[in-house]
Amino acid sequence: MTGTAIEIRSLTKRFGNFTALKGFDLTVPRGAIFGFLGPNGAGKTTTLRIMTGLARATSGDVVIEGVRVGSGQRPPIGYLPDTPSFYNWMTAPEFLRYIADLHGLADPPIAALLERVGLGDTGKRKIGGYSRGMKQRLGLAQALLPRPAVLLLDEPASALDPAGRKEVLDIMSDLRGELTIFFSTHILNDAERICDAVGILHEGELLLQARRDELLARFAQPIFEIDVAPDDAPGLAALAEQVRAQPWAERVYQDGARLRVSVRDVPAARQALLPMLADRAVHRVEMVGATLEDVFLRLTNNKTGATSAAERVA
Amino acid sequence: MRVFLVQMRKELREQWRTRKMLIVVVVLVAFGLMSPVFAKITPDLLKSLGESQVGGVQIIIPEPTTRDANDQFVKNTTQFGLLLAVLVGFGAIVGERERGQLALIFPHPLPRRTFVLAKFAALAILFGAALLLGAAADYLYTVLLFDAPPAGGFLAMVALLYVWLLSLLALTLLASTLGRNMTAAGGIAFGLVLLASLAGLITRLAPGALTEWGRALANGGDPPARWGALAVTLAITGLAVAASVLILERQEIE
Repeated sequence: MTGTAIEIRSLTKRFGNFTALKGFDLTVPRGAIFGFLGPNGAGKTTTLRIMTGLARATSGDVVIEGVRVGSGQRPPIGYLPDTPSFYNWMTAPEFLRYIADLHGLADPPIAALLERVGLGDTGKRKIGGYSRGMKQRLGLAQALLPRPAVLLLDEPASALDPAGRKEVLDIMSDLRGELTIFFSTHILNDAERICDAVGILHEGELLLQARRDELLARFAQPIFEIDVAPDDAPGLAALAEQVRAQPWAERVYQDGARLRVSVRDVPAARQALLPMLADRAVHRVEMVGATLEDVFLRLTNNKTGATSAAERVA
Repeated sequence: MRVFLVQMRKELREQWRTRKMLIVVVVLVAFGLMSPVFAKITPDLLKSLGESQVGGVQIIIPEPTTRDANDQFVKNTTQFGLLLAVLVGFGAIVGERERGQLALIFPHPLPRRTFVLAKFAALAILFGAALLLGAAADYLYTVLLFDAPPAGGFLAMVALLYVWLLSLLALTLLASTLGRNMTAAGGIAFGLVLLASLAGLITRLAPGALTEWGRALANGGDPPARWGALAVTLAITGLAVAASVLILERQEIE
């Protein structure tokens, strides 16, 4: 699978005086699992609504598998909105049969698809009685039914409990190599787990687009992770301030009883940091690599209008 | 055409499963059955209440006839038909948009034009079938209790009532497309239907003229033809459906 599956050019969307998308470009290679990351309100859903034809761009183009969205020709997509809403009076096979009929599929693999998403045993149960996780999996099934070349998923797992999230991410992971998956999420662990490439959107601007591994390597920066006893957590803020003032410290995050310190100069940090911890109830000190969350926080915190164009690595 | 048939089948199944079909048919058939019965027993009821003698003045209540049964049928069908058309139709599009169902199905190959036309066609089939059944029930009881109305005139009345109902359904569907939520759509639907009804007070070209024309035909009279009202009603229907299509095609779906 080579070539480009999705090409977004100068995509802009305005709602009155508010500019939700500020003319960004994005390219997704065919066959990739692409994570479209950004905090709530960044413009991810607006982008997906334009990609599916549910909304129109103010300017710019979206081309999916060579078909320009809005040209009158339908691109080969499957789409799952963030909270899919079905006809509750139908059963799952009835809904998939209806979708198959819209596509004119003569012999749709409804039973196999339901089995694949873990809904093979729902029988004649109405969709109205499904849990949120079941609806999300049925949503995946209806998106996959016409065998699309590109699967567009809006926060497919964000609203689910950990078990439901794992199920949906496993299904997505299993689809690797079969089609291109473009999914939005604000949960960076999900993206880190299954994505080949990511784009980071912030306040309608694409801050960066890169292959995940290259991105982590590029932004790789030694990080010291310090865990203290829960009783000592209140005192961690003072330590954070103390560390932040050091010339070798790049960035300091506190998360409960954990402190993450990204450093510029490892030997200097090692030499200075350990004495600073002497009177703390330290459970663990470890040097770890950067995560997608570190990259994301670094980029979005730095984003104060200095850089607006997408920084491309891939 | 294939997608239209798929969508219309879905709409008809939805009417059946959600019992909308049952409600519309039962109400229109019930009033079809009751119209001649009401016409027959109303004078007896009044007599039994002693209202034929008020203040020493004797009120003569004439024997009911087929004409009374037809009048009752037209009155009941227009009142309850209007109410049903608005209640069943006003949520048709806005409801699916509000619930998020349109965001799920529009990315599939379902043109918005087809979606609106299938909705209208399914409503037209439902109300057509219910009206026919109601009219059949009314005709049967009228024959049993009175003289048979002229078949041609009776059929013309049913056809004119149907055209009138279609215009209400089209206006309601337009309201359902225009409304941003269910409450707004319901308000717009009642407003449009009220406007169409009030227009009958100032012009003979309003849809309401069709029901009067139909009643006169069913009573065996030779009333002046209301072709103008028929043309206006059909135009309202066509324009309302076309406007629904155009509006929905321009709407952004949440």
